[in-house]
Amino acid sequence: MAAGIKGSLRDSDIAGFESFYRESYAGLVKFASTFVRDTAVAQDVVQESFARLWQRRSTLGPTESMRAYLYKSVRNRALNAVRDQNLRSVRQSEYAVDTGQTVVAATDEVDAKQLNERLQAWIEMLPTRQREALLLSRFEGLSHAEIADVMGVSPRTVNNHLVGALKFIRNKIAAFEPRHLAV
Amino acid sequence: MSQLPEIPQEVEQHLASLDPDESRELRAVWSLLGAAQPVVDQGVIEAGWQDFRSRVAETAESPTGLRLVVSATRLTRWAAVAAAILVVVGSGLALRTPVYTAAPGEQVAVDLRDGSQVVLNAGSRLQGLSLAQRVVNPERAREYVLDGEGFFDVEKGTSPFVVSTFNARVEVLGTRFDVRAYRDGFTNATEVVVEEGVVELGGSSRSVELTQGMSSVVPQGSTVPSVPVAVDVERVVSWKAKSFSILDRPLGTVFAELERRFGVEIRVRGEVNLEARKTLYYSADRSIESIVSDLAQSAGLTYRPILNGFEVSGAR
Repeated sequence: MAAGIKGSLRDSDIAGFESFYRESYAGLVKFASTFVRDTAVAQDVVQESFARLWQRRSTLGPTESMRAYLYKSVRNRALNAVRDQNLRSVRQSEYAVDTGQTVVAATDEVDAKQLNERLQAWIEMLPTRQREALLLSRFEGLSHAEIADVMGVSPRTVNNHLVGALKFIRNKIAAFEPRHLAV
Repeated sequence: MSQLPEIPQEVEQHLASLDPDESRELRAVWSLLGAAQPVVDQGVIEAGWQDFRSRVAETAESPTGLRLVVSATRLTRWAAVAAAILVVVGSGLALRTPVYTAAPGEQVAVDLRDGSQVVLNAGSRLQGLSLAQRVVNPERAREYVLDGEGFFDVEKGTSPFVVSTFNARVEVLGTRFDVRAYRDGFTNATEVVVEEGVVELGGSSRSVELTQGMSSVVPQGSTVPSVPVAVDVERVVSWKAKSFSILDRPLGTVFAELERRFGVEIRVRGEVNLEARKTLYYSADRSIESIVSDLAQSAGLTYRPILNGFEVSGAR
């Protein structure tokens, strides 16, 4: 897949770019949202990254991973956007997630939808780097090497973040949804 | 995305080393997480694409413009310049020089054209070459002029990546390094620290090669870089993590650094020895006032807040 996209990008082929865009857009916005939390800002960040990639398409090296490049670019821009925001408001929204979770935790009998909601909330509660690694690996299907490139850490650290994230969520499930672990 | 990824091999290997129950539970978590896959709203993607399409409309629909630039080597240089100017004159891009600025009180990360990244410290400015200049000098496409401080993470490339300051030139092929070239009246120099790789630092008459962990300085008025010495790189580049770190610098430089980093004014009254050397380290969450307060105390000064900063006073 990647080679084909790169080939078509090099040829300034807007159609090739379009399918790549449509495939990647939602995941990138989700990823950007883990940093900026405001969907409009996240969408802007993604849009700018795609624009940058489009401008750069003729100079891309043959071995560069397109996805890793995009995620790295989104990550930098999102961190910049966070920097520009009021730090206090970022913390406030994290706090809101924490308190929201205790409300969810009150019930006992849960269906798939509720489990899904809880999982989402627990993912939000993860330390940022663990959440990042989990999103990129579990939902975006990036390899350890690609994630390491995006996050600027070693693949071994990526693995530690991932296992850490799984353990965190396992403990939450064990506390609130134990029957899902008793397979 | 219709298909969710399998558990990665590296995670599997780690799980194999755990006790069987825990390993089974963590596998179950991986699988349960599949339910938390965000739902993709096709309408949002469509809107995103339309917006993107309109943003890049000019370049997308006249790819000849980009082709002309790419094949510039086959044209005469002046013809290529003329073509480049003609093609992008509508957007005014050919002659525009890319400039990135971090105002006092902010730091700015920049993705450069070649995939390299720069973080600019507060009160710094980085300038590249315009499209027209790059067409005339394709081998100089990765040349930048820095005023202030920046940390560079340079992608490997065939042409050298060059950072020029007011009195020195730093040349690399792919590496990570910090260039600091502020002129505050107390420290006027270009200082380079290498985090990874090899860097060539040149004054106007001689140059030195800097390897990982080494630092060298070209003071203003000098044409020769100093003999490289080992430094605590992590400490030097800790500004990227918003720490406030000063390693043996004159008080005047500390004040200038505070002004840039926090976007404030530090006014000095009475007898203050601005040449006194200071070493400080504060993590990111320390307020400007607590730093000023500590500094004043250690230097035997008093301070008071003023409208846009602090006034520091020595003995009368």
